Amino acid sequence: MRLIVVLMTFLLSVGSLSAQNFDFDKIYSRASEYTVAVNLVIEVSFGTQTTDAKNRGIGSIVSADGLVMFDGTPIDSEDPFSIMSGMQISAEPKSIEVVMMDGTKYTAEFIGIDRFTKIGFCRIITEDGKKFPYVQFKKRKSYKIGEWLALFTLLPEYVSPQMGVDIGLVSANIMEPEEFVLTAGFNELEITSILYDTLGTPVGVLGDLENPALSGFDASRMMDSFSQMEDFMPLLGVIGAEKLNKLIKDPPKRGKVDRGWLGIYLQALTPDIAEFWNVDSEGGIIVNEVVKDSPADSAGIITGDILVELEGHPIEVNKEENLPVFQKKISEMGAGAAVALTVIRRQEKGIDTLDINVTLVQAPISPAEAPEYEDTNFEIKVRDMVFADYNIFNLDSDLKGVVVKEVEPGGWGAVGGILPGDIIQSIDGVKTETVDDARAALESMDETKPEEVVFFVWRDSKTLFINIKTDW
Amino acid sequence: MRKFVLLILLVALTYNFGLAGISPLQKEIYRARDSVLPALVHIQPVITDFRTGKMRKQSVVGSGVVFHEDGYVVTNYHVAGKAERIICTMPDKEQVKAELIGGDPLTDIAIIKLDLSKYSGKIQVAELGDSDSLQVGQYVLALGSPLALARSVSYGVISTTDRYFPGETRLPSGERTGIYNNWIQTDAAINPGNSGGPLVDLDGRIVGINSRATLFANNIGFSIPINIVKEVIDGILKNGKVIRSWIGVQCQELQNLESWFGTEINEGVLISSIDSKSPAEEAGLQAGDIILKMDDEPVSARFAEELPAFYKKIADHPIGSQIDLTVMRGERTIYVTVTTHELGEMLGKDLECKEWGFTVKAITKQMAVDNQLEDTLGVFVSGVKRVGAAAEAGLRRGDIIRGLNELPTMSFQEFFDTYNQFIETEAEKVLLTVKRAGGTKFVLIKATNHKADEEDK
Repeated sequence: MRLIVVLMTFLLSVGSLSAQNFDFDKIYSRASEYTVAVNLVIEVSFGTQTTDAKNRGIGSIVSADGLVMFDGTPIDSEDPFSIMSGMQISAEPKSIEVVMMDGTKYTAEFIGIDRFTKIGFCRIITEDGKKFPYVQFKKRKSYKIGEWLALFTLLPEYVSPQMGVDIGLVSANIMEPEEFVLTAGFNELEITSILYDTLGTPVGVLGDLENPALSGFDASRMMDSFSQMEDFMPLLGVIGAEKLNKLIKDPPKRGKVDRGWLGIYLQALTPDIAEFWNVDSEGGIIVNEVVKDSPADSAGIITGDILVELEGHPIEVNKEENLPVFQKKISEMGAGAAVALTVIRRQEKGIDTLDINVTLVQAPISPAEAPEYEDTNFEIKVRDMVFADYNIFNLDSDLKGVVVKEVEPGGWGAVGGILPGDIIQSIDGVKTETVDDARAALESMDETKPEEVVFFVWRDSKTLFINIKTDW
Repeated sequence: MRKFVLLILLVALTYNFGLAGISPLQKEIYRARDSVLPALVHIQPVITDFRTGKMRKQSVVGSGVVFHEDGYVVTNYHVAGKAERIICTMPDKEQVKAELIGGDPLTDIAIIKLDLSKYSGKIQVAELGDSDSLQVGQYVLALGSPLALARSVSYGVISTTDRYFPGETRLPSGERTGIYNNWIQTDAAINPGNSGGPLVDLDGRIVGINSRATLFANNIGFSIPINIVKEVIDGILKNGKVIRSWIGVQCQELQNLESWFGTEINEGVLISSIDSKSPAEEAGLQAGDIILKMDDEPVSARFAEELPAFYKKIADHPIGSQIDLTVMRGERTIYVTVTTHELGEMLGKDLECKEWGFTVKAITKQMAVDNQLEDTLGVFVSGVKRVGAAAEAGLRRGDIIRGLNELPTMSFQEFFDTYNQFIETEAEKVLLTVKRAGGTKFVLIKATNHKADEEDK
């Protein structure tokens, strides 16, 4: 009997040990080898003003050759808040410094940022062959609500050591809009910190669940949701090993992200509209418009079609806020993916159900990814026009030019009257349809040194001529 | 002795302030005052505003001046152009009603007529002068109701006679304005409430209608030259509006661009932009063309200040008439004939869809040009009430409703009629087909939401 009690006590204590007591000494000594501070220098511009901003955040070495993972949010040029506030963030950091916990500093080269997790990647530049200790994530199948998790938080620069422990727990297993293990007790500054379970296994990193209502370019929709404070409540949780290992194996390339694209304008099939149209579906995507020559167009999808199944699974989008979930799925499938869609077509004689196969293509690049050219004489930065420009401003597809991205105050361009957002159609009569055209036109002036240069620009749906006086 | 000094002082003071000692300038100011102040009117219109998704009435204050013995008063469009009812206070502080005769947003002028049937006083008329002969530095008075303080006179000089505002200026109600005129700038104090009041020279003649002031600046006010106003008055009294021709060209000053285009100084007007689907586009005009002659008369706009007069020259053509243009295009000279269209209304009429909680505007030809719309069909959503069936359904300001219940695209009148039918038959659900940046959207209005809403009140 006594033995049983002793045994029980032992078992219980083991149980409680594994539930609440981490072997922090062990975790700490390992983590301190691959946990780093990442210092980014970012270019931020408001209108015509550009300044450099510094950002310090936590990172981890994830491969022996010095691949480092860090929080990419500060350099997320698609961040809806910066888009809305008119703040432009350079798509790439100007410089990256990786600081080890022992104080050793390395310069790193930017690799890219994952569009979905917002995790950034860079590689430490070293003399040949230096091997780094690195973290290896282990896949976890499921999480129990209430189970403990720990991470290391980055302490301010003026204290030493720079790492401290924080603990939290699994607070919910979220199922919609996507599966997500929610945690409690952590904060936003700890995003991208490695999460350890009670056994000390690195199971993932802290990330946040993107609020679908706040994603994308649709500023007006964001304005609508401003009244709801809950939209701003960050939902933090686990970005799992599976996703991370995939990213580590094939880190996102700078300026080039593989994103699948259908080429439709879309709207959610709400229960009300479904009922109004007598469509028997829990949800779906109403095709509002099909981009000409897009995959959807080639596959025969037409305006008014309702997409109800994707790869045999029902599309459960029944409110506008959940549209990004579908967009993300398509995007993640990547270019070249063959996608099976079930489509409902409403016709006068009744409702048809069609099976349509679409091969996705690479999504058009975003303004931030567009090739740029900076002219140091005229002190303007221009970029190629992208699909989004035509889409957002409802531009005629005949309109060709380069978009003025930045204008240095007091420079030739600024004094002459060039404004950010202008679309330069020609320079001294030479058509500028791409940044290469603009570069050729402007660089040739290094030799000819004209006293005046005439730009023909599009601004607010009107065109005008701008005379720029030079001062070689 | 002390009493004596006091007496001397008193005499001296009386002498100084008495009429005998009045300066010639003061006399002139009094004379100018006497010829216009008795014709000055304090105007309190109730205007309607549709921007918040419902029709809202708003009481505003402005100034005006009687220019015709039948009780016609000139004021600003932004004061009375959208008035539902108008109450005026005469110089003798008696109040009379007035009605809106017509307005012209492009020059910001409106004409109202006083109801003199119950007015016991004697109406006085002010004389309209000549704004072309104004000199910079010339003395002027500004009369009106600054900050609603009626019968106020301020005094200053003409600061400049041809102030030009680059870019597009719009009235609070949304119409474009100031395309056909430059402005008289004055340092006679002009404040909100002075709008529509007269700027008067020392001969007591009206030389401008005070319309704008620069806020947070000291005495930078702007008047519409009276010679422009006179033509607008004629148009409104004759036709109820100003009829203008339109060909759809945007022009730009040639200054600094002469050598690039190879023109002489003071030769030609540069076309910078062509409106889509305009007569100019039809006639084959292009951005970069330089108009050398219009109807065989040489034209030029070297400076931006010359552009309003050029635009006016086009606008003054009879509707449907042909304008012969001699145009320089690169090395060549070509001859182009453009047939004018009527410019028409800037903005369409408003309608409140009260039951569903939004307001719409009819789409005019100019709105279609401005917003690159294919046609004028459908209605423009000018406002959506924060709480209501339309807001609930996701309708947004700026949407264009093209169809109701998937019926073919309709006109404003058809929309109006169909809407009323829905309300009468108490339709519970109506599907709007809406055009919005990024394509077409379907918006389902559930009228039941609204009914619940009404009961709350």
